[in-house]
Amino acid sequence: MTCDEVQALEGACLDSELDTRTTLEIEQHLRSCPGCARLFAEEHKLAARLKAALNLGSRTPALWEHIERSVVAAAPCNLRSRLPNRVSHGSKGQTLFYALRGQLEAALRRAPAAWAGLALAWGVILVLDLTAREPNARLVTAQGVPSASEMRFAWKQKQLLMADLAFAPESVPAEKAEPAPPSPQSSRQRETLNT
Amino acid sequence: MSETATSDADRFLALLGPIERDLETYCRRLIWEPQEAPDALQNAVMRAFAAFDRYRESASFRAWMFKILTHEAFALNRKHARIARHEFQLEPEELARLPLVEEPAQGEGRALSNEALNEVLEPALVTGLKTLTDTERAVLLLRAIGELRYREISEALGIPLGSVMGNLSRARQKMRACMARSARRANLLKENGI
Repeated sequence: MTCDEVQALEGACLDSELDTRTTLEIEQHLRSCPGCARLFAEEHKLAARLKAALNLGSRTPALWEHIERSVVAAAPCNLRSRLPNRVSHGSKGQTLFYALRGQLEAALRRAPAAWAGLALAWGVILVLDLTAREPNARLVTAQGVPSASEMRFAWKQKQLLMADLAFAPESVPAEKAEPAPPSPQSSRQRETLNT
Repeated sequence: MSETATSDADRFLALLGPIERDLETYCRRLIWEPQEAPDALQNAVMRAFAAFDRYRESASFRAWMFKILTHEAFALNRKHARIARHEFQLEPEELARLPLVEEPAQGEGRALSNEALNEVLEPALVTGLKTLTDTERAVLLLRAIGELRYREISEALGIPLGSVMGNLSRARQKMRACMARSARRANLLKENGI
């Protein structure tokens, strides 16, 4: 290990946060490097002095007695708020409802941000779905699916046309002079229609 | 029902008792306004008790309590928006009076007795802590007073392990510089008979 590597791990080593192998390597380096050994000794002394100085302070009995009394006073309320999860008083369905509600509350408490994100994503999907549905519907009607009245009108037109074709010779007035001889095509049509 | 409630409270208080002094010392060092420390402690303890059913026996109660107290203290500090004022207004004026010698001398402070050293160090510590950022201060105190492992500090503050090491290193450097300046100043004053 180099001096730089050792000095970078100085704090973690003094806090006993390194694995055994790395600690041994550092100790080996310190035995052969007086400079690093001196730095480590100074750092160790400073950390100990700092820790001792920061730890100066005492417990205030009156404050903690007051806090402990508050805890004891809050104990029944605390238990009551947890009862639905622990004790079953009602029917089986009620117990299941409380258990599910407890699980849901616990899940919400564990990751509120994740649930909020999920709800937001769901909202976005719904909005996109609603906005996307409108143009499609308009497109389908625009492409010409006829309405019922249009269908009825077309059917009547067809009926009239067929009637015209079928009964055109009979409906021709007699006084009309020399009607044109029927074409082979129209006679064929009449036969088809009559049959 | 009352027996269960009492046993819960008893169990909670039995776990709380041994760490009360450390919690109070930590809170007084972490919070900016000393008069708010009792409120922060009470709020943290009541929150912890309300959530005691979610506390797992296998986890460290000490680390769990320090985490709750840290969040409570941060919330109070934020609420009053005093961190920035302390960091940017008090640091320059406090530090401007301290640097009487340019380079830190090795082994300084040896001339002082332990009591005198504590007298000198206490204001230096207060000043030094004010030069730290919120995270640096919390990491330093959680390690020095809470005696939490790096992993526990990382979980308590919600920061990566590497950040814990970086913040701790910076915090110690700043505190070392502040303490050195203070001790040097005290020695010089003593030598000059002031």
